[in-house]
Amino acid sequence: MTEIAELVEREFSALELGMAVEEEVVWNETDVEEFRRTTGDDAPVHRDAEFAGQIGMPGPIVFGLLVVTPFSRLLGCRLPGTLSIIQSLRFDFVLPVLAAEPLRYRVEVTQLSPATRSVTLALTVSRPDGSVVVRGRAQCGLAR
Amino acid sequence: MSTRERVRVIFADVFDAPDFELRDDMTADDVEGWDSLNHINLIIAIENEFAVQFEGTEIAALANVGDLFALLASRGVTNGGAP
Repeated sequence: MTEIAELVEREFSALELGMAVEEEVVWNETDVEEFRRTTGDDAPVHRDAEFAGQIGMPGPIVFGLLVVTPFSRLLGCRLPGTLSIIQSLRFDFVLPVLAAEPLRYRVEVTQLSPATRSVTLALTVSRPDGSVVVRGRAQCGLAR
Repeated sequence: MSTRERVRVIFADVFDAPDFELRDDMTADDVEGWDSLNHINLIIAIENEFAVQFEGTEIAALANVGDLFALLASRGVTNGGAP
């Protein structure tokens, strides 16, 4: 897991369309096991290679909700930053994620609403070849 | 599609009610689920749909849906559907 590199206190007026942050994350089998124990989600597709193959997966897949957890850090600490709270999140899980795959996380400002002091951000998780495995959208409100 | 229909579709989407019937005298008290967060969702969706931005004071002054159409008209968005 990536360490928290910075805490950004950014006011709404400092946000701009196209502003973005990125980071790379690699999930390992220990991360998957810890998530399994935390959530109690014991579905075999996440731990049994034979079962995963039977339902068309290339191997045991990383939990989708684990894959998107870095967005908590990226949104809350970096962009929009510490003055923001998440109002809504939406994700589409486009492709399966396997342990040990390096994944690139990106958050980009796509809409600013001064009247509501809310910002809409595009969220993507992609492989090194550029293929998107998760795409999503966040809406965050800023305190000031 | 007219401005009114485009706004109606936004309300239908936000409140998950495909047959949502929009009235000018409608207020948040008339619509189940029209809470503070969905109010923000409506404004953001309308700003995005019509490529406009509102001021916080303008939003705070809205008394009903009719006021919202008047606000859109002040930005050049008329019931004919432009821009």
